[in-house]
Amino acid sequence: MNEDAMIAAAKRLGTGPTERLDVEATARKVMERLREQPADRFEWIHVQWVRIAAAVAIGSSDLDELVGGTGTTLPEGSSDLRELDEQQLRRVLHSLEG
Amino acid sequence: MAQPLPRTETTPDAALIAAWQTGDEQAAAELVRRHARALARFLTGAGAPESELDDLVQETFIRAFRSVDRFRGQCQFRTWLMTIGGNVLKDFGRRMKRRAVIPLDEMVRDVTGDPHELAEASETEARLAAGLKALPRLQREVFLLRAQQGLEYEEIAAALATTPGAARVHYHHAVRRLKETVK
Repeated sequence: MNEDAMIAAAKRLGTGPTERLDVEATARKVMERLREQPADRFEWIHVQWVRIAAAVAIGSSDLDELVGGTGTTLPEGSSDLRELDEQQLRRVLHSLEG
Repeated sequence: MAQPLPRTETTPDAALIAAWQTGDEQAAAELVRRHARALARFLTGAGAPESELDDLVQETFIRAFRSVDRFRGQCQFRTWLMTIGGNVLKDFGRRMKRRAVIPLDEMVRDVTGDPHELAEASETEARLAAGLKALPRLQREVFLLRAQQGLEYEEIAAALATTPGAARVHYHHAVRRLKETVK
C-alpha cells in the first residue's frame, strides 16, 4: 500500500461508527457525568507523578518547583516517561532547569 | 450560575472554553457537539472498539473539561482533545488487557458505495487498522493526526510537546512501518 492509499484509508477509518454516534446524547451524558461525579485530583496527581519521576531520574531535589511548575511541557495526561520521545524528554528536563 | 454565552456556529472555541470556566454548561455542550465526531474518528483509528466509543468520547471530554485550566491555546482545542483521548484509550487498553483482546473484526469500518469497492475498502481499512495497532503509540497518534485529521506538523508538535521535526520523523517512521506490514 502506498502512502496516498494509506492516507485515503486513514481518512475513512471510523466513518461508520462516527456517523452512528448520537452527539446530542453524548453531550447530555457528559454534562450529567460532570454534575454527578465530583472532580477528583487523579489527573493532577498523574502529571505531578511524571514530574517527580523525571526529577528522580536526573537527581533533582527541588520537588516544590517541579510540582508547582506551570509550564506546558508534557502531552496532556501523560503519565509514563517511557512513552515520551527524545524531544519531549528534553522539554521535560529543560523545564526542570527553571 | 453564569449567564449563558450567546453563541453561533462561529463562536470561537476560546470563547466557549472561557464561558465553561465560569460555569456555562451549554458552552461545554456546544464544544462536545462541535468536536465529538472528529474525536470519535481519531479514537476509532487508534483502535477504539465501536461498542466503547461513546463512553471513551465522554471520558475524554470529562477529563478535558476538568483540566481545561491547563489548556493555554498552544494548539487547537480539538487537537488537545485528541491527545487526551489517546491517554483515555491507553487506560482503556490497560483495563482490557486484564480481560480479553479486542477482536480484529471490531476494527472493520463501514463505508458506503459499490459492494465490490465496499469490500475492498473495508479490507484496506482493516489492514491499515491492524497495522496501526502494531505501531508504537506516538507513531500511531502522529500518523492519525497528520493523515486522518490533516494537521500540520507544527500543530501536532505543539499538542504533543515535541518539535515539528520530531513529529515529521515519527510520521515517516510510521509510514515506513505501515508499508512493511500493510501489503
